[in-house]
Amino acid sequence: VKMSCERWEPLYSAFLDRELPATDREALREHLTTCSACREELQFLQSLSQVLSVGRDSVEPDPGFVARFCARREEEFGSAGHRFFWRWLSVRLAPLAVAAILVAIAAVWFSESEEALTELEARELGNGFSVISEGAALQDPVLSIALEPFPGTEP
Amino acid sequence: VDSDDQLLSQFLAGDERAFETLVGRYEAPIRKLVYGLVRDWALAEDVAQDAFLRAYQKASTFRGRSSVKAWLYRIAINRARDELRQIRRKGEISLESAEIGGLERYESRTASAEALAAARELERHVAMALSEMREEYRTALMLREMEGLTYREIAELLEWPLGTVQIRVHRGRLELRSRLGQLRAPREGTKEGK
Repeated sequence: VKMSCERWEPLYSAFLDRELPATDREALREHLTTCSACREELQFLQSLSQVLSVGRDSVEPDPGFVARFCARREEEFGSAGHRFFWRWLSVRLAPLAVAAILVAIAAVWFSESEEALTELEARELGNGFSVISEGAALQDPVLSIALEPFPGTEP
Repeated sequence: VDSDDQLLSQFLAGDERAFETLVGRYEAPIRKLVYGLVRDWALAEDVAQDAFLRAYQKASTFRGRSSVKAWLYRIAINRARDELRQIRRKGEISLESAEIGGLERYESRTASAEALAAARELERHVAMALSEMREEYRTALMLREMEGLTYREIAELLEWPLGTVQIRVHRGRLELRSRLGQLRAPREGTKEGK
């Protein structure tokens, strides 16, 4: 069954890059035997690839690159001792900074929890369930009655 | 031979030579990748140097979510992208002059001075076209063409789905072709059975 060229067009690159599954690859190959326009299109994309990859295989490791890197490193970050100190500091300080942030978060969380508890206590007080001080009890009309001495116990 | 992770750990523990070993290990592939993006070897050297300096400076922030290689490549790609933006802003490359059919001359070049000049001209056109391309297409295309990475390797490096890589490599080629100018008559209608 012949398929339209539009069906194959999105697969051209994967075909060139050998990334197509074997079944699709064979099917596209078969299509190419009968479609000169698709063949030309693929040849064109292939030549574009060749242009893009000019110099790809000629790049050799450059022994001078590391030396130039070291020179620029010295220029930008100072002497070895200076660099070592700052790196040591950043590596050592990073966990301390994280720990400080965690402690701060925990402190805020606990303080909010305490506030929430106080609000709960206030609500419970409104319902008459809270433990209250003796002074406060004397102000409470219900408890004040209970605090009155039993008859006949007065000296 | 120490792995990249080992070298980075040694560096963070104070061994500067470990980082220099990493630089030596990746300078060629990174220069090549950057050249693919900026199309200028001298600039590629500068950008690669900058990328390694940045990695050196930020090494303590590496969390190991990707490989060291992927981390270095991403820094280099970002640095090349910044460079291309600057080039565009300065107007050192202008798309208006990218209309010459450089590919045809490239294909027929010989070793003559004239042909070499034509090849250089083509390089300039390719650089112009690349600088104007969508960033995702350019990056995917260069990782494929210059680094020779497989689609799966590109997907892992850039944390893209595999299908996205396939689409972006292809659209990158189509966009580049379009920007370089049609060198042949456009296709007409269905070509089935021709």
